[in-house]
Amino acid sequence: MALKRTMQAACLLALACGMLAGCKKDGGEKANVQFSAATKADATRTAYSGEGQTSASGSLVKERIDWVVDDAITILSDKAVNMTTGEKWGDYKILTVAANGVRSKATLKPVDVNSLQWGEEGTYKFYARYPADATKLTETSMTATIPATQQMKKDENDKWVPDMDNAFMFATATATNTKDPVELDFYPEFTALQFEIGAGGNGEAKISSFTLTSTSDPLAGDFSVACATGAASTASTTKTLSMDVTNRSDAGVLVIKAGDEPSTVTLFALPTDFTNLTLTVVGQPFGTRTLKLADKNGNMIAFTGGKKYWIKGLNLPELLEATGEDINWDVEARGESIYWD
Amino acid sequence: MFKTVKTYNPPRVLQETEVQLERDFLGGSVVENLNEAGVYTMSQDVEEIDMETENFNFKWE
Repeated sequence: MALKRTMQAACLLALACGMLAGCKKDGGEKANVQFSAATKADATRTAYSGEGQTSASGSLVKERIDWVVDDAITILSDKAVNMTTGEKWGDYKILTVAANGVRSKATLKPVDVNSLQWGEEGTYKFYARYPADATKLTETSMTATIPATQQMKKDENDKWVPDMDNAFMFATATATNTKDPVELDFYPEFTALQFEIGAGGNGEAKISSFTLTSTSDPLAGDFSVACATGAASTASTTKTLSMDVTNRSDAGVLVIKAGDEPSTVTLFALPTDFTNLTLTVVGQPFGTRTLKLADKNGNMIAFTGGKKYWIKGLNLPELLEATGEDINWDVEARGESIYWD
Repeated sequence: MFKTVKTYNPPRVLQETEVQLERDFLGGSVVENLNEAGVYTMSQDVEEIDMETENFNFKWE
């Protein structure tokens, strides 16, 4: 009898705790999950795979972007209803991941208890965004912001990687039968500029500022993607894009040593076309140098929105101690101090 | 002859159970259709620009 009472008490206590936890969770989710940009940053993000489709010469022409387990996406529908919130959208997290050629395939688990449900028969439209907390999504467009100043981050292997917080993706799907599979294909909605920088001569270079400027086109700021066409557009006037390298070492500079593997700096720009780019690098011992991104005839390179550009062979100007030729330029012309280790 | 029985309100049914009933009524969860087909990232087109080659004007100023 005593044992029975004890078990009853334990069950009631467990039930009460469960109900309290359930109430807290429901309230929290309803309050947090919104279609406006949120301040919360998820720890998990997608990752460039470094793999994909190569050309006959072995160059990478299509790169797979891998899902990471627990990445968060949001799906909006014109008809399906979230039975937990009563809204027409739901948040989901990546449950399983598998590489699939040039694509990364994932399965989902709903964040809400039940999330989107089918209703009556008919055609359903679905729109999805990634990352879930950094975009705004309606039935007509997805909007997001490419920051004008960016940083690279360290992955779990202590390797510097692009900040995939800015690697926005968007997907649409249409279902004509509630029994049919629904495939969501997420397309990149950003342009990536991956610079490989080496140090010429001997010694080392220390970069304190890395800036890309267009004289004609916006590179950062707000943009939108039309749900109907997938076309990206922007009204931004921000024509400068900078990499904040202060987190790259204790001294707040990006150190590049001659003879080492080139360092990589990846900037994410708007998913719209741009051209007339000039790269400005400030550092020691070379001071401030600019490089126009032009072809051999002097024509400025045209960049297509949505692609990834792998810009290689960017050795910094010869170091002072290697040639001595730059000493006059740096000291006499610019009055800057010479740097030695 | 009906007999009145005093009862107490039982604890609220767990939410999962309630929603499960509604789901069956409405036609099922969309996540099952999504997982049957898969959720994919589409690859990004890559273009190499090797500034050291003769195709480009590599000149620091």
